[in-house]
Amino acid sequence: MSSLSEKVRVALYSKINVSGVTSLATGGVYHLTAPVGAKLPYVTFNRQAPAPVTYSFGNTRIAENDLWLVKAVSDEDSSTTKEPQQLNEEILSAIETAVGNSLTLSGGSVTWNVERFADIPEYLETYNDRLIYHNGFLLRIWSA
Amino acid sequence: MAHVFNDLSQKILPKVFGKLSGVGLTDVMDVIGQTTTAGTGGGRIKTASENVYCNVPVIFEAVGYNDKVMRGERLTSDQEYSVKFPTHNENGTRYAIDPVKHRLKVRSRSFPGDEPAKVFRVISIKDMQGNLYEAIVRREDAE
Repeated sequence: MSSLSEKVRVALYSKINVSGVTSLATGGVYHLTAPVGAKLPYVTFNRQAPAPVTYSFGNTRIAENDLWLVKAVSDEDSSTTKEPQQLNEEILSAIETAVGNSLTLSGGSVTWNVERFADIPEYLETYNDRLIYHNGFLLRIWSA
Repeated sequence: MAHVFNDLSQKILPKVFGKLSGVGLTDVMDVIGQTTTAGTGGGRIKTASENVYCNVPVIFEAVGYNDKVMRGERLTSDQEYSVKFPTHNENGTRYAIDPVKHRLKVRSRSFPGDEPAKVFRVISIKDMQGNLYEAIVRREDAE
């Protein structure tokens, strides 16, 4: 993992981990996996796919971009008033608002564009006596 | 022969469990029920849970060894238990247990031993000749 994507990870977390999101995703926001004992619903995010770094002539690096996966995870116990899919959708909507179209990276690097690339196909998994719902989208993040 | 099974399930076993429970040799559990309603988008909404049956005498023991497993992007640690309880209460009324809708919550016990309350998720239930339920359940993390 390049250091730039590591900076993106930190910047993305600080944008997502805000009350507008955590008031819905009450279990929190986590990179890759939630910790043992975390209660659903929560948000996970990770770098999903890299893209080639863009160079100018003379091997000067101009920019790079990655796809980041952001997911809302909930189960049938997460809400007594909403379908899990609906709750996830509301969490994702709050994330989209919180992230906006730009990030500020530490160390002088600049991320100038965050765009929603695509929704992922929703999927389910069983856990003992209930179902866990995964919904999410991919963000393409350009930085330099 | 049918009378024997009926007497066993509706009269004898409930009294045996009741007596054992009275002297602290069995635990006591509540059966938690959940209802689901249709959502507006084709999904389901689970409404608030309630106690369907209270003070059901029960015996439980851990069975086998489990591993830590990733579920819902989270590391989980479950333990499987075998739970036995009578099919009828002391009035001869049947506990109509539904493995899909019901959860079992064993109450805490301070004597003998010091056992915290436990929530068991039902995996499957064997109905033993209409006399005794034997459920395979899982306890999630330290729930």
